[in-house]
Amino acid sequence: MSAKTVEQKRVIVWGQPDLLSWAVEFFLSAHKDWNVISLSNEFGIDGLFSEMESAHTDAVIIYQRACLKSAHLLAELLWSYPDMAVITVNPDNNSMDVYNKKQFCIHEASDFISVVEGELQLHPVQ
Amino acid sequence: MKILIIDDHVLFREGLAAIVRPQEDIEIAGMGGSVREAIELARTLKPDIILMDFNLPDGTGAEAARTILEEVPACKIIFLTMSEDDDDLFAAIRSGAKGYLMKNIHPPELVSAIRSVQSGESALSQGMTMRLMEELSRSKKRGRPAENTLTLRELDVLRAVAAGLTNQEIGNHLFISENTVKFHVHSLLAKLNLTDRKEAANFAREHGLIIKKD
Repeated sequence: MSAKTVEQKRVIVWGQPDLLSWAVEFFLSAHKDWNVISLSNEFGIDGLFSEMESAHTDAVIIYQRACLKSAHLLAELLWSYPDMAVITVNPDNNSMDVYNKKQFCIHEASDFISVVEGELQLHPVQ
Repeated sequence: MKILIIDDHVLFREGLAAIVRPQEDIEIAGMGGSVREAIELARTLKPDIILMDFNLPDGTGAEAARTILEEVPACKIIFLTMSEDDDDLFAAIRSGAKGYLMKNIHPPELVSAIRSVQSGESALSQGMTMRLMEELSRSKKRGRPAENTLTLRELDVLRAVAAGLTNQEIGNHLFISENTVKFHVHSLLAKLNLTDRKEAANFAREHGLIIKKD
């Protein structure tokens, strides 16, 4: 177990232990001063949560192949760790999905309107 | 040694580079993501080794390998794949590749495989060797010479026959006369000890040489 410094981000790469997961780990480690941990999904979701508890993770990168087998995992992760980003990488193409939980404090009613408006600007209603 | 990395998955490509880059005896000469880029980069950079995904957006690695090895015969090609399909394996080996590795290989094993291939050995993932031996044994029993004894033109014609094209369509496709197509068909049937186009199509199917009809 290594100590987390203030600057050092902690990232878990979770999925099937294949060349792509190692490639992602090597790539992130080589390009950023991040603490990147590769974790096999063979240890199950409990293994992931256990590692996140001890590592105070900033982001989890999940392969869709593994993630799809447990769709509730995303919601569980975001609910349990609201400050963390969950990123899924599709091993079959160059797509990735990014999930974040957002939480706002409503001081005035206009705050609510602003948030709704902001979301509608990001995702315009057809 | 100079290596070229070809994979359409950007993250995978960059990750492979990150795995290989710390090795002092390996230099990454270039990277690409398609058959077209593989051929162009190989032609320009003349790498010692090409690490290439077998399935690329604009074709298979086998197609790229044939062209590359015609132009840069000293180059050694290692395929990386998620496919455990026998046809892909045999097509890869027949294309002249020196390695066929599954993408679940560990990084140190990959680096070791690259060095082995550079020193003249071949590299196959576990399980692949046995399947290759079995196929060779079957080919021997059939008493047919491998199709790599065919000329490249005969191979083109065989694939077109297997795709169901008529002699005229093959002629149009390959820009040769119908008579020349007939000559090639006769020749390849004789070389492969086959009796007709149907058997040729089956042979091509068994050996992963099928192409889709346009």
